[in-house]
Amino acid sequence: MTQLGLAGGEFLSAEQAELLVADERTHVIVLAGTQGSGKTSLIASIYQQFHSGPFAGYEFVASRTLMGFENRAHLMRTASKSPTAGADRTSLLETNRYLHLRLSKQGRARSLLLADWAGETYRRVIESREAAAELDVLKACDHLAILIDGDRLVDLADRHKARVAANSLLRSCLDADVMKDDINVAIVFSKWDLVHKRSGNTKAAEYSRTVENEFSKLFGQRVGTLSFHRTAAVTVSQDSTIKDGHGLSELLDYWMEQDLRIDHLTVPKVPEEPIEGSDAPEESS
Amino acid sequence: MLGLPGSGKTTFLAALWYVVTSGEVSGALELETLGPHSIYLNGIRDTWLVGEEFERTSMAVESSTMRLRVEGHDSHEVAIPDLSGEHSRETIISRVWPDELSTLVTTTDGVLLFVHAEKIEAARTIMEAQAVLGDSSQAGVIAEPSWTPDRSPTAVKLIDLLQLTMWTRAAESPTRLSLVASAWDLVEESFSSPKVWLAEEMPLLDQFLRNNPEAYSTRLFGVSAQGGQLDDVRKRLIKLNSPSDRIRVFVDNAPASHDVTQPLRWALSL
Repeated sequence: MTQLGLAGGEFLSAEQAELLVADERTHVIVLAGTQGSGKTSLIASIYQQFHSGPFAGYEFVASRTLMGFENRAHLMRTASKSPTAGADRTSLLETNRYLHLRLSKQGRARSLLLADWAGETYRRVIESREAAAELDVLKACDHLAILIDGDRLVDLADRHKARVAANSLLRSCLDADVMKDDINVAIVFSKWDLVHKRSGNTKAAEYSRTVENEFSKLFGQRVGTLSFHRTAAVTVSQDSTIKDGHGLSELLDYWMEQDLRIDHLTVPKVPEEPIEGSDAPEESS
Repeated sequence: MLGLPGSGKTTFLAALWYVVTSGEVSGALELETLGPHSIYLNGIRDTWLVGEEFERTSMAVESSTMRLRVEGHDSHEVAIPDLSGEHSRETIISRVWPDELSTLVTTTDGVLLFVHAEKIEAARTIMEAQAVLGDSSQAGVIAEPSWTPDRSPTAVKLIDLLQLTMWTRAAESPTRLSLVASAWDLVEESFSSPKVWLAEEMPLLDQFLRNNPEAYSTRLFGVSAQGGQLDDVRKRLIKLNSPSDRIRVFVDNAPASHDVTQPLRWALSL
């Protein structure tokens, strides 16, 4: 039997991901957050949007982990016949495994490698920058997305713990000094439909702005870019004015757009050392 | 010819065999000489002629060879394996291709990909369904949380097959692909063309085909090889003096033709 290997499986290994990065223009996105914060739903929902057509100006080109996305998206679908939608919490949440999505905008194709980060690893990194230093995926990542569970922002006590955990995670990653100097960091307030719906939503929304101010002050100068997003990957009630996929187009555009900046960089020519005996220095080609 | 079970491959092949041997359709491919194995083709043609239902194609690869030509042009030897849809289905589930299929995929000159125009499993979310039905819950529905690749939407399965094909072939030039929407008579009132049908019914596949021109050069065909529902075929259509008049092929917004060889001609550049 012929093994298909790389093509269309459920995930790429670190080795396979490395081959891909060498082969095509790729962004590595790491999603970090406590268990239940919505990492898998976010990934599934972005993928699901393309089933309705182009999304955020991007079109689907290919995926080497099509079945991995399907595995995560199935609970959002009628085929699962599940009374409530929500990505499977027991789906793969392991380090050094990636999902692949290739998208195109205005004729230019780019790949995303998405790594969802296990809850246990998240906890270890919060506690120790040495744990962060051990994570190879941090060295390779272009974007770090830290999810703060919007459902926790509504709880007056729990919201502080959620904020502090995200703060500790980012600090630990930065202090480990293994990420790229121009790392792009997105703080994602997930499940924003719940914040919007509940009676305490004004306080929760205000608190999210407090978080923004704190993170900007503490970390704004230590990263390439720092952005804040409010998303609702899968809404749980039809009553909400916030629909499935809220905020995801802006987040996806943020992840993809950085590539435009790279394209416009010009690398200055460095003249070669003059060759002994020649009349004039030679220019580098 | 690739496609999931029940996608119309055998019906198409039966109608094709009739057209190329009868010479009824002007401009269509015609048979010049028959290859060594015509029993299978004759059998399915006869089933088609009387409007009977086909048995499921066996897992054995039925390969038919024929020498075809368009009037006034050179003839070409064409081999058309009628692959059971179960091969495609098993490939998606197991992630393993039988070696004989891998060889075919690697060496083929063109691909005909079949999909039943009406039997599309969509990737609709629960929220989208509730918005249509106005129902805020599905209370009483048995939850089936387990996922398998077989439960994927039709568009995903077809993209998976096409990706597996293109990565296996690693061809230097685009592969000619005829996407055949079979049983087109069932949907022709709803869609003005196969192009519109694809964009509305399987947007993900539409994006995939548009954004991989270096892998596939694609043309869409709506084909009614039976001519209608089998009951209607048996009662009415088999009375036609020319059985090929049952066949209708739609390309873009052009009027329907009876030339069922068009998808094959595109795929093989004939």
